[in-house]
Amino acid sequence: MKNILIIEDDRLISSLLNFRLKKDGYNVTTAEDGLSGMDAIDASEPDLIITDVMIPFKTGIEIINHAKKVYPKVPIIVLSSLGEEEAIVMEAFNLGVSDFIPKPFNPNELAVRVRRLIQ
Amino acid sequence: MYNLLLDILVEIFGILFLVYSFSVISFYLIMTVLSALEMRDHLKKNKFADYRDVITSPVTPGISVIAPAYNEGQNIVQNAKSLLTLHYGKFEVIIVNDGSKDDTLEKMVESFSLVKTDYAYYKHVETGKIRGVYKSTNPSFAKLTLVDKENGGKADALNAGINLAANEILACIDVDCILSSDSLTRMVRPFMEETNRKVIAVGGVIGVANNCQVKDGTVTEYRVPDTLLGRFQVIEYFRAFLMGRMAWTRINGLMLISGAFGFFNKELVLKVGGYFPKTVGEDMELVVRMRRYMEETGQKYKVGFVPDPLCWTEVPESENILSKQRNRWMRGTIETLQLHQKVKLNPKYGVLGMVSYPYWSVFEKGGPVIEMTGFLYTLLMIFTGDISALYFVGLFCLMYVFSVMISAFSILFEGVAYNNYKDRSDLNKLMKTVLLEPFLIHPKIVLWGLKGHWHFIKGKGGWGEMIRTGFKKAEDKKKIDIPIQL
Amino acid sequence: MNELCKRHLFKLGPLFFFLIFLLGNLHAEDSLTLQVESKLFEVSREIPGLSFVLEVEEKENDLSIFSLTKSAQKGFWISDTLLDFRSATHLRDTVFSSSGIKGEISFLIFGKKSEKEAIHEFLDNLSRNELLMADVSSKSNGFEEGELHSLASKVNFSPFYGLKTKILVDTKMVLLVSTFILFLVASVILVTIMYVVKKRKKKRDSLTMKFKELSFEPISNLLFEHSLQELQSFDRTKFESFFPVDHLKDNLFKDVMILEIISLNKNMKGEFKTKLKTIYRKLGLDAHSIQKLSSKKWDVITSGIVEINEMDVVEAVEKVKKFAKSENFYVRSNAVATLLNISNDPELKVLVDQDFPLSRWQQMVYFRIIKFINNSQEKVKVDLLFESKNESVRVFGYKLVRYLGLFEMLEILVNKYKNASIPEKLEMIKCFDAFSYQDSLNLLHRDLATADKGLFLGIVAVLKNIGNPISEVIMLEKLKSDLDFESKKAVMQALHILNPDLLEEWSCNAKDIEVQQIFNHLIDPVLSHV
Repeated sequence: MKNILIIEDDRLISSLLNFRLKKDGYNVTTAEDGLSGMDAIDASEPDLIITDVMIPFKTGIEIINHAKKVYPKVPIIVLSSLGEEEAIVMEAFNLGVSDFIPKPFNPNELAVRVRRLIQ
Repeated sequence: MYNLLLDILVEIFGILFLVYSFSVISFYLIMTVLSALEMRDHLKKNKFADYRDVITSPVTPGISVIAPAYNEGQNIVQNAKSLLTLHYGKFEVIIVNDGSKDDTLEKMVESFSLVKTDYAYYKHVETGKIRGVYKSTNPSFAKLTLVDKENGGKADALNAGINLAANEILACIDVDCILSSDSLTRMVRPFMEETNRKVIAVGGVIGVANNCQVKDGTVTEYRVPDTLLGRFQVIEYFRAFLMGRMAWTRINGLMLISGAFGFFNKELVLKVGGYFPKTVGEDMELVVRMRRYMEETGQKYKVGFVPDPLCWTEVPESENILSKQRNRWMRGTIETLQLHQKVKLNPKYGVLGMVSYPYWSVFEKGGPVIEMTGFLYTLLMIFTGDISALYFVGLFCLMYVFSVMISAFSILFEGVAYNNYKDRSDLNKLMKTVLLEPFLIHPKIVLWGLKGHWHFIKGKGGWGEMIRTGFKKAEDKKKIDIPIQL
Repeated sequence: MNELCKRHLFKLGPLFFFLIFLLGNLHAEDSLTLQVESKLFEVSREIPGLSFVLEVEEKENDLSIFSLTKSAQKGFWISDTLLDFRSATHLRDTVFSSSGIKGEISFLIFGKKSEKEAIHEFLDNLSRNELLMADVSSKSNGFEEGELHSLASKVNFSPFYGLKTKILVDTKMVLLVSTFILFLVASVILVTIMYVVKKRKKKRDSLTMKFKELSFEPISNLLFEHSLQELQSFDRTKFESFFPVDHLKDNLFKDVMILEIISLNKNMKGEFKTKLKTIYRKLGLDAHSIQKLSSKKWDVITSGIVEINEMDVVEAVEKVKKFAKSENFYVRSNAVATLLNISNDPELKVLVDQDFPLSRWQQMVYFRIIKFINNSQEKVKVDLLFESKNESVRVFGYKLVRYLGLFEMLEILVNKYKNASIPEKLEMIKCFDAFSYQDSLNLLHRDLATADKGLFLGIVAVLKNIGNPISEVIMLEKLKSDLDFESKKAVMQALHILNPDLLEEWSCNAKDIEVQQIFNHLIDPVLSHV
């Protein structure tokens, strides 16, 4: 069973994603902020990470950097309310992020992209 | 003949102390009610504040963050980095190196790839000699500017920063304060929301970071300090900041904005001439001067206040340093009140002149003097066998019970508003502090205040050496705790 | 002084009474003697049964000249038994004035020596039985005065005001004590209220958490397990079956559910939004939101308006309209936002008709809404905003021209420029800048002569972008005139972009230090972004 790590401070969204992805048969871990996110990256072995760039205590960039250091091949999806043209998002792409989904989003579409990337 | 005179004096003093005590009690009762109403309104308004657009909207004003630094070499790089990563759109960070004797400048230049530039700017406010204006060659740090100047004190350093500020709002902060990432967005809201009046300044609240869990420059868990002095300052923060300033804001009489976390309208600051470097209470003096200007030019205005916990600092836990701080605060208060005497009880100055100024003059400035006199008076009465001392003892008892009530109220107040201090044992410790404060701490505060008066009269100035221990403390403590738990 | 005395006395309290008792005792003794003596003075005749003897203590001298004889007691001389008091006192005074020795008169009832109380009683008895009558003649003013003086000097001072004092003191003291108690009670009440508020809030928060969890599962279920068509076919009872029945009647539960739905709605798009709206309506939550509009509390009204806005409850538009003019900022700004969003009015009438000035916060929110409408629905008629009586609305209109990229409006702006106020002009020129609108150059050149520094700097900033050779000439001329530092820097910056060689040539020849400084700043590579 594949593991997915979701780093998102909005509890409702993370619960919803949890619900949706569990339906597809994944094992989902959630983290609410940058610090627990970093810990979760170290603790679990995610096959895919979904993260926002604006989270408490750490910038999304730091999270992505850390993730790529620990698991260089792990696919990362950035889920954010910031636009694609924002500098911080472009920086994320430069670091090797696999996909970017803007908020508001379609959970089913997200699930489709997850399935594609996790293989 | 003399007996008669003495009798009259004694009775007059008795009445004066009675009037003073009643005034203090009345003020505190009014303050609790006003602050409760204002906080209730504020929390309701917070529910409707949608901050999602603030960062990206073109309507949002730009902010220039100015942080003076003196001998901050130990932490300056970390602090500057955290300032640069605040969640906001249009802002710049200006660090002013006020002639540090340590390696503040070198550390900054090295970490941020700074070079001296030929920056040309206009000196709106006269300052001490500027040695150089530094910018980074690395575009990631484009928001950062470093001003290196000869030592001139905090007000002078702030003025130097203001001269260079490019945005319409100034954020004057202490460089070693921790700011939450959304502090800029939240503090800018009062400036943006007001329709009818000009918001000239917005004050914030500074929490006590001692013993809190601080990881990577952010407060993650609130704990209460270990020492009695530290805990007393937490209570004071509840009482004076959360309650007191909220109450003043309700009647638009706020006369003091913390120098460590205050936001100002730049244009107006320049119009009144910037900070006044000759006083140690430069933060209060500027606000009073700005208010005066608005009153004198007959413009409608408001001094805003955001009580949300957005900024924290390490408060002094040693008596030595705390006494110097209180001494300095008293001198600052006296100086400001003296400078702006024109305002006193002058109806032309509205709430500022008729309520705020007299309050600060009598209770904040005069408080220690009156309390000490009252105390000596009581002692005298007891020794001369005048039994009316019983009445004063009764009065003291009343004041004690009352002060305990108010402090207890302020703890509950914080609990209702933000509930950051959740730990049961911490709350018990705070209650114990409340019970002990009038005996163990308050007399010291009075003494330090008196010293402030004395030093003011003697003409002593300056800041005293304030040692910073750095935020490592909480983290170090954690390292020690863990083996014991095992 | 009186008041102080009264208070003083009252304060002494029990001690006072104790002291009084002691004093009273002393007083009593003294006064008794005086009473007896005064009575005896009144009567010049003999009093049956009463006789007097003078006793003088003297060890050395011979007092026989005074008709005194040595008594049995060593060192005492006594007189004969005298029958009237006056002769006794006369003798006493004679002895005293001649020899300086004061003797004491002893009283004898029926030959027996008696104490003052007994004498007093005896006299009392006699006078009651009217056997003792005062001598009328002996009463004279002068005599009485002296008596009063001697009496006065022996009596302790007692308050003149007597009973009246006591009552007044009582009232003041009562007032004082009651004020003390009032303060204490007030503070206790405040603390209690706060405590109760805290407990209630805690309870409400935990209930909210519980409701959040309770509502989450059903909603997610509905969102993911059922298609939109299915949901639209369900009726209310079917929906309700998914949720815990009892809670659905609870207002707090409804509020929590609505907030959850809104939050999800904000973050989702497409079919999910429609599904959420269906859930919202079918459960009758829209009625709940509309109900809130009738409340008296501003925060309840505002939350109702916000919910109507987020959930597109178009039927409520009329009801919301009346709040667009509310004095309360939150009600008003949210009502306007709602109307902009869901009333489908491309003419933005609600904004045009605003009386209150538009705050920046409002502009931020409305811009987002108008942008959304402009992109997804009908094009908004921003030019109608220019005609508003409200200056802040006009200014906002000009901002929208550049935010929304409405370059076709620029012609209108040019026509309106001459009569516009300074704040309006500032926005207009930013629009010219954004679109590099060369047709505005004439206006800009002319207004460079303005006295308003803000406008001047604004125009120079625009010219930096769209200036032509005429602009260069005009600006160079301006440089030669007396400009303040900021204006100089702005103009030089503009020229540096438009015609760097021209600037360099002029700067090297200029004698002004400030010019040199600015020039160096402009050519510094590190500062190229400043």
